[in-house]
Amino acid sequence: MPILLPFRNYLWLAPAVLQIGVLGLMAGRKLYRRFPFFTLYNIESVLGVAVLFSMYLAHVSGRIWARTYFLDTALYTALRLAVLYEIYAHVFDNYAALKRLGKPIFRGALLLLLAIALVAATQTHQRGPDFAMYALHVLEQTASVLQVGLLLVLFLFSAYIGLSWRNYVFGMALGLGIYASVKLAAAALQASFVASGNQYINLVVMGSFHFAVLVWLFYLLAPEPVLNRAIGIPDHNLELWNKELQRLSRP
Amino acid sequence: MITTIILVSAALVTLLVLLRLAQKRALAFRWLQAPATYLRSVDLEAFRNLIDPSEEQFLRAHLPPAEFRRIQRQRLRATVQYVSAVAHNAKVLLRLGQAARLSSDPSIAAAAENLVETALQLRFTAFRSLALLYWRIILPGRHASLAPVAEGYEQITGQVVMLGLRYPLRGVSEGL
Repeated sequence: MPILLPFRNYLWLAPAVLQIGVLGLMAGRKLYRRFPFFTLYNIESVLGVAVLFSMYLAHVSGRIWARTYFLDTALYTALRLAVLYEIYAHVFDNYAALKRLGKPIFRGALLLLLAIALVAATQTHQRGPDFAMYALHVLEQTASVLQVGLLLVLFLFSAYIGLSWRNYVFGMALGLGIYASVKLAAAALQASFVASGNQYINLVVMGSFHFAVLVWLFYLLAPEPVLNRAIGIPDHNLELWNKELQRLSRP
Repeated sequence: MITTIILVSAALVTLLVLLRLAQKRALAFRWLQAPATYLRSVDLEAFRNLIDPSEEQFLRAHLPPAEFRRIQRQRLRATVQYVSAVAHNAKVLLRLGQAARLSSDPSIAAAAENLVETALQLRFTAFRSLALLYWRIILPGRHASLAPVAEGYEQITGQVVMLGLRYPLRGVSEGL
């Protein structure tokens, strides 16, 4: 589909360029110390695009390209799971009362989702002749079930308890969640119906990753909702002190 | 085929949940301008009276069994309302504490940290108490003390007042 080629190339390259911006912002705020896996994930993603796009331009053999693509996919899938663990750890470690809950919730959800993902994987059947591509889609479907499920558990638990996250953590989780959801739908469709791949589905997945990177940038740049930024209080507000002390001494 | 439909539906539902959460977060700025309006009224004295075991003993001793059970169910439902309000207010205070925790003033950040931890513990205590209350409504007779909810609420009120001395709480301490 030649008309889609420039659009596909844009969706391939633009997120990598934006991810360099994400890495720059993280370096500026020293967030790489707190989120080493997210930093690695972005570096791996940028390098992966650089290598694969160069190989595509150089017209390297299909076998070498496929092997590199598999390696890249395996690496970033593993890193995405590591990033999720990092987000869990960050959210729960912020509260002394929740510190002990983080790991058991993550492990419990992971085991349950792994069982669901494996059941789902056994239910899909190869439709096309390309087994490697089918296996890749099933692997991506399994990883996406884990990622979507883990993020959903974390988001719903936090919303129910009332935990609020720092902007950049929320942004990371939201971006990953959007991308993983689209990837899950795409992998499920591709594993069951179009094992040889579908250009339109791939474009949607690439578009969702582009959107996810924009979400990361937006939340890295957005100010935190802090109340004392909205109004300033004088250092010696006697009226306020008096009012509160009256409340303290109230029987 | 069914697996694919389930997975695609799950992905779409997740997308909708994520977008809804992002929308709710965008409203957080507005929420922080008037947190007091989100509080529910809790009459601590009336609540203490309601969970006082001696009150229950008195009613049991002076009412016919059928009448006592009817009254006791009403009292338990009223207690559920109070405990739900406490859990709700703890959530409001948790969010407020989390915003105040980002203050550059260390004393405010420390007071907010205490508020956050107390609010979390109070919320868990309230959840446990709600489960017990529903259990007692279904199967009367099992007694469980709800005093920790009242004590936790009193403790958190004090912490909010202390934080209010240094930080603009916009009427939250009055609303408790």
